[in-house]
Amino acid sequence: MNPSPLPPDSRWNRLVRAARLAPDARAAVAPLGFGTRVAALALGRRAPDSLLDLLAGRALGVACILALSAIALNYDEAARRLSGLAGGEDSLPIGEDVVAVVLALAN
Amino acid sequence: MPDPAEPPFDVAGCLALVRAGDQHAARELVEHLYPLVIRIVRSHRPRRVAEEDLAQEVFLKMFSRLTQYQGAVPLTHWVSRIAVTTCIDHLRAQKRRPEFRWADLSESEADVLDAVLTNEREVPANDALAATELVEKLLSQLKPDDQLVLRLLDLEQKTIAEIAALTGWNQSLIKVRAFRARRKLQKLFLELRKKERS
Repeated sequence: MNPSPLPPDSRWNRLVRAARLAPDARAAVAPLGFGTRVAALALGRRAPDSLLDLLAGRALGVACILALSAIALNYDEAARRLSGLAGGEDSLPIGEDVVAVVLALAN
Repeated sequence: MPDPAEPPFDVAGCLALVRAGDQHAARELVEHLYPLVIRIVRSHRPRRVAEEDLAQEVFLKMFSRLTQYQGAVPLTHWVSRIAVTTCIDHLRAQKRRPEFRWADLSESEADVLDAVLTNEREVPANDALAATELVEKLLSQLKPDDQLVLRLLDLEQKTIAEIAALTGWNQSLIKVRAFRARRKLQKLFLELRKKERS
């Protein structure tokens, strides 16, 4: 089923008839390593995450939740201790030589 | 050529393994399909694109679309279509078409063109390689889609139905493209004849 068969003596037909005779000596087998490279690229793209990756991600999430929960549950106690440290009598004197104070107390 | 003693390649089994992520099966599939893909790539790739790079692109597309392959057509037909459409995408991306000049032809190409233009003698068989080069240079003057149609129709001698299956274009469109491309070549031959005389 050809649209309009080429006239046998047309220039184009004579040229392609000659071109079709050209031998193709190029190799038709995959070069060494080609299949391995392509398979690795193709499957590497769509491979699901490994079990370790999945567990490590989840473990990080759980650790974050636990840390936030711990802060939330102990917020009052932590705030009280911090304010006590900041405003208490035992706070370190600002602007004094701390080493001298410690040595004086030791004597 | 496949060894007759070798068992036929189990496409369905291999595809099932590839879908399960078996890299060894994927490599076997690539090696099985490589001769088909490289033949298409060599026939239709733009000259500036390396054939191995284009073949790799075809295979990567094949793997990324493997879930879409339902087995309604043979795998080789499905892969051929991917290869042809990948090549046409690259041909379309190559916007600039170098002007065809007598001065750029080698001596044997000029001889072949002279033989074709003068209509006096048949192109010698030992000039087949020069004729191939000349065909490529002439085709490069056409639009990418027209190039593809003439390569498939006139060089590879495929039928319109086969070209339609490979490209996804309807048969009327293919006929129109072939007609238009041959007319453009005819015009080009006339121009070359004038230049040769002058």
